[in-house]
Amino acid sequence: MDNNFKELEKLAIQNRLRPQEETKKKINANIHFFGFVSSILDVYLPKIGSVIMSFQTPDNHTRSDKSKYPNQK
Amino acid sequence: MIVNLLNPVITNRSLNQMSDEEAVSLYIESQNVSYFNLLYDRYNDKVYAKCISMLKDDDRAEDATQEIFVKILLSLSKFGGKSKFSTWMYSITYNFCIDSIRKNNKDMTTPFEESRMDVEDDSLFESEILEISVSRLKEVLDEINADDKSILMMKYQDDMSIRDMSDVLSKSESAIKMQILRAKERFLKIYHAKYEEVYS
Repeated sequence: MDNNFKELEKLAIQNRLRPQEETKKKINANIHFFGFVSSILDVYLPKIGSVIMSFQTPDNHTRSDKSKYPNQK
Repeated sequence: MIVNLLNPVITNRSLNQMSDEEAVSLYIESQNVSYFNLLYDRYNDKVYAKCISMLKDDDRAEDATQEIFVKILLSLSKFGGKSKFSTWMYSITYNFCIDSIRKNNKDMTTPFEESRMDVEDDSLFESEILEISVSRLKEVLDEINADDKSILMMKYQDDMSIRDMSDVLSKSESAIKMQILRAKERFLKIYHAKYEEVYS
């Protein structure tokens, strides 16, 4: 037989008003939201990274120094 | 969705036979929601019962249950398997509830100070406490502070060992034994004051 603390736990569960499925749905909505955010980050983060890198590299300056028509003497 | 399609078919039977720790590692590997739902189905009632006992309000307990499971979901990768999954989850539950009570300033207790005294017998007062009726137990638990309540629930409701509690609360085993003893003393003091006429 369970002790009084465990009986109290059972009683609290029996008296639960809100159906547990409701809370489960909210948690699943959270899971899907986190999945959505992480997939967006997966797709766009490397692109954002490369854009930031392109600003930082001196490549832009060297390009501007080059002739617009490389074959022209 | 893609992950779900790539995974082998998970039958209810195979899920039911799976241990908590297996479900955690499979969820981390595959991110398949079925594994997390399995853990939710197994433990949501117990987490709710702890929340309602600590927070004493149904709406707050339901919201806390939801937040605790989201917190568990986000920190599953930190579960190292050092203790049982249930022990780890209950520690998150108790800490969440204690923080929530402190934020609402309903519990003004000071954190427990570590004592150098060693408690030899941690079963002291145990039989007296365990003989109290469920309705009286609830009433007295509603009056004691959150730290005392959580340590008594860890011991008598969750059957946590002193070692588990020591890991969960980051305290020495002797400090845990002393905290339990003090909690039992304060519990019985309130109990005797409340039901004084019964004894007189």
